[in-house]
Amino acid sequence: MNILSFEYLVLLLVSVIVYYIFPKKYQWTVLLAASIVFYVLAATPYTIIYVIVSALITYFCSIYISKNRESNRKLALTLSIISIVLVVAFWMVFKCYDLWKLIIPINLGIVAAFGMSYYTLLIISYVVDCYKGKIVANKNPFKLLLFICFFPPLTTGPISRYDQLESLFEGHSFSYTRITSGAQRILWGFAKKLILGERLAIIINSVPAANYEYGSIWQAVAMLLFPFQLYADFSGSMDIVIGTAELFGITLPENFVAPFKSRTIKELWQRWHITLGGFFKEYVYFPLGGSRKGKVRKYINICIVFTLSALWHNFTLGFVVWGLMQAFYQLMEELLAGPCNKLAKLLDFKTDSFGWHFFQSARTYILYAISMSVFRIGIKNTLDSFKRIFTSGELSVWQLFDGTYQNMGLRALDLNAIVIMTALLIIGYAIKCKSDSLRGWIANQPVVFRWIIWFALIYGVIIFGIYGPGYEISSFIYGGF
Amino acid sequence: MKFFNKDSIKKIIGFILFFVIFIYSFIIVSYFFRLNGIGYTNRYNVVGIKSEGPLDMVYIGSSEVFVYYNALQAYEEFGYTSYAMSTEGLNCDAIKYYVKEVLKNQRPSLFVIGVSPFLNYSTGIDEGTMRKSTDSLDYDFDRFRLIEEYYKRHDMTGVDKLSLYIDLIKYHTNYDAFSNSDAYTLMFNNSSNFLKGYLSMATWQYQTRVDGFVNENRIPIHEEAEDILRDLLDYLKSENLNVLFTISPYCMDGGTYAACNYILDIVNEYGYNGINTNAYYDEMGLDFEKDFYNSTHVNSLGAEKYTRFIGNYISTNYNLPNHHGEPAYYAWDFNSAQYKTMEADKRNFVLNMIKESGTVDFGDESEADESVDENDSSQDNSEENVLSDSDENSDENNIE
Repeated sequence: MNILSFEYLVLLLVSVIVYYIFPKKYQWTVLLAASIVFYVLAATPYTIIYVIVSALITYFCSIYISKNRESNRKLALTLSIISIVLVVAFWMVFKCYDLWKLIIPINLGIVAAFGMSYYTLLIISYVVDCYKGKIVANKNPFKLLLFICFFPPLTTGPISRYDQLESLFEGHSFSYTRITSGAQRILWGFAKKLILGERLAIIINSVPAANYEYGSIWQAVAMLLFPFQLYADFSGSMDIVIGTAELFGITLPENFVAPFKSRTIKELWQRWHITLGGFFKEYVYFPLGGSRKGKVRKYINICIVFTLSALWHNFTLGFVVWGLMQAFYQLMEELLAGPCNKLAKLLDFKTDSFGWHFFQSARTYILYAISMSVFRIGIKNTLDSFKRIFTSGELSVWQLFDGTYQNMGLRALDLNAIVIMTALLIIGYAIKCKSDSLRGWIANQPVVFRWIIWFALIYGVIIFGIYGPGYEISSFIYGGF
Repeated sequence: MKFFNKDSIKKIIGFILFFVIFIYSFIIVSYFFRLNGIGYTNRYNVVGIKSEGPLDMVYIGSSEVFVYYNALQAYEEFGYTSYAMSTEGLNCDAIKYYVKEVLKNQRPSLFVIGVSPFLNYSTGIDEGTMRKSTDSLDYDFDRFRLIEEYYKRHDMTGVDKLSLYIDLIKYHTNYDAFSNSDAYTLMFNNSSNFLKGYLSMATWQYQTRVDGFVNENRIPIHEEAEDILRDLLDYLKSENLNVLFTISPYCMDGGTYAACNYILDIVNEYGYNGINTNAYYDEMGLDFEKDFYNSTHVNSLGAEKYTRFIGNYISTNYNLPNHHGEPAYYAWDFNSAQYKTMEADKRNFVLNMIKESGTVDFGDESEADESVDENDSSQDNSEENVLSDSDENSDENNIE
């Protein structure tokens, strides 16, 4: 089961109905039961043991931290973090290098790591916040278990802090407006993922770096399209997750806020996978001193943060290089900011103009796309792609219009769907900028117009979504971490 | 009560209305995108019966029915109304549900059921063939029960169950439907079928007649097939229906004939009759050298002979009415006369094809023309024997 499957929708429907039938005091038990059912059906029955063991370690450590003196509290904090991180590191190394095959001849990739990367960060933030006194340790181990394995964000995030999820334990009254709003957001997520993300994936996956079947321009297109495809895929999953939580009256933090509007890489990481960046900033960067201990230390801290972030994604050199590229970009932005501003002033660039902002956003996007190529296909294949793009002598924009896309399994209708869905994303964003909430703006329209929009979106997903027999059940890229 | 204020009632009504519109539109969209075979023949064959007035006979089966039996010819020669409700490769599991489908709209005096699906039973299932039946039916509980039957009796490994129930999951990428008039015609899963389910095969393949297979032996059919047959017979009895079982003529062998005997014994147990027309080639005037397009199906020449034979058998043994001249049946009079001309053109086309091949000895040169004249004495041959290419149905050559 994944959050795109029919079984998930059935589980969701049943959970919502039962949730609002239950007395408010015990509604959280419904969420816990639904989360356990989801976990068991999505992974295998016994992988829940990892979650339970992690929850128990966290529970006892946090209770101990709450009750004891300084040195013992620190020891408990350190032990709990080390033990959780070691478990993750252990399985990541085993998963990355297939070492598990030496011991157990079963597919441990799914068995061991399901949701582990996400709930580990939840646990670390929980014990650290307990230590700092920001939160009071929850004395109910089952409620703590719910916090750790609450099913909507379990496999893709967002990574929430405990104080952001305390509403899990509160009762909520049925609200028609909230239910429809949550359902609308889920629908929008499906549209992004199934109409746009999956179609872009066809192009990107058809142009692996070492395959010279397609012209050089397609290498460049795949490289430039990947961040957009990843956005459609990942933010689509966030819409489904956040919409799901909204059905229960729980608000999850946003993970994406117009990331491609960013004019610098630093700004990009404040708009892209916001909760992951927030976690590393709060629990790694600031404890290391942040920017308070001089510029050199600041740059080292940034490198450490992005290296850890890279290792969280995957335990390979390619990902480390990707992480260091992000750090390098930020370092260069800081170092070059002064001279560039001076130059701009000297040459009288209109730095407040739309053209200049657009240039900055485009530059940021291209730099990010290059680094994401390493993320997607590794260092060697990225270098091969560059070699192919710039030295083959075949770089021609007209190759985009010679029907090559049909060899990838796409039709003209698919390209139209990509264009229309992209246009809808832009229009939706523009409306959101003017009226604070796209769903709110739609809700204020006449009923016929509203229903036309929702029926168009529903049937857009049903008819133009890429799903069904013949397709692998669409899994999210970030579900693999 | 506080909950039922004006605003709540408005929301409840709005929700129910939205839900109802969604369900109704979903069903229409599903019908629009359905494409269960090459072309829409299977769907027209099944949905066409809904548009028919009262029928005297309904003939159910696989391609042994729709390629063999011409309802308009049967009306023209014998005066009873009929319809061939059949789909390619029909699994025997579906026959009972086809009968139920007919009974939703009418109650014919006679059902005729082709039994070759019972001979061809297999626990393995071909999804494409299965969908020719399931995805021609309306979205209702009988269709879901049929799918459950398939799961009960067949190995459905590799078949996505959800897409069987909600076939839009399978067909939603059939974007060619947007530019296909048949998709629009069938978007309510309802359309008249001028040919009453008949598909004329204007093509030919030389076959050799084999004799000596008629026997009195019995070879049991597959256990599951027998189970399904008995279940069907129980149902037919419970509905008090009049039924004839048939085996249409093709290149048969002794073992298959013995299996047919086994089936007809079971049919007789329940008080029904059956006829294996493979014992009546001469009575039918069936010519294996001319009348087939493959070893298991007749072409339009053979269909004419089969229809005449079975129509005569039914008229004689089942006392079906002759509606010629009745005002309520003027449409049948008109359509059968019209189609007679069209079908004669196709038969002439086949005869010319055979003549040009030089494979078959017609004896006297005029025999080829006379064979058309004998059957279509009212036809004016001067202009109407020329078959134009535009008369060819592209589906005709792709029957399984």
